[in-house]
Amino acid sequence: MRIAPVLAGILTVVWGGIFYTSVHPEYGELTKVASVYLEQSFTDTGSLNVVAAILADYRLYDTIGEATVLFAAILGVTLILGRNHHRTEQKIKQLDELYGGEPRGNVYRR
Amino acid sequence: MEMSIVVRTTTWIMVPLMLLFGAYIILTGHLNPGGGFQGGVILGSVSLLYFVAFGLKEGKFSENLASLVEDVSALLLVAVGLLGVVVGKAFFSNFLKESGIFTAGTIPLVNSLIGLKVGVAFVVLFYTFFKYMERRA
Repeated sequence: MRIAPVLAGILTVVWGGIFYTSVHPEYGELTKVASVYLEQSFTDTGSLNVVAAILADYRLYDTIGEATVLFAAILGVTLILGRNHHRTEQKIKQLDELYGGEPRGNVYRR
Repeated sequence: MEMSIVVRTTTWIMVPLMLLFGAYIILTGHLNPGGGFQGGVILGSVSLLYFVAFGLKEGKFSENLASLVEDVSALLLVAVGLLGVVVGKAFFSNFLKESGIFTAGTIPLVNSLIGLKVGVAFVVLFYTFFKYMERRA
């Protein structure tokens, strides 16, 4: 039996336990950051909505990162699916004429 | 491909209401539950409803304008952050809070820009999907 996977498993559990017990608060208890948000968000930002205060003021970097992720997703979809297939179609027709092939159905399916 | 007249009529009734509701969610995001992303998705789903009900008429809709709006609103979002540096505070700081223009400083501004960007991004996404589907058909 190899020792490395067992050691890795034990280390994972130990590290997870350390982080869980050190970070995770008791039930019904606020962490320091959470209580600061709840108490000071109105005086800091003037927003009645604490979620909006966090998303659009304290953690605006995170929000702009999400917008960038969405932008990258749109970029990928547009690059892959939104190409102008007209030129490809013409090229395939040219090749068909050149080699005397029969044009069969939809060119996108080939 | 158009759907039946029931769906089309309902779409014409629903589209203004959905646009109004999306704008409401975005503009009161700092007071009520809501915000830029949520309202933007509502605005984007209007385009989905429209494309489903009426089909995609190629040439009637230009995705270039939508892309331009998305890029400009993303740049304006960064510009709002840079304005905080120009005013003399940190990047993305809430510099409008003391001026009293908005209740929550830059939060409504940021929410509107994010809402515009997300909504238009979904318009481009649905348009590209529908265009691809119609070409494959």
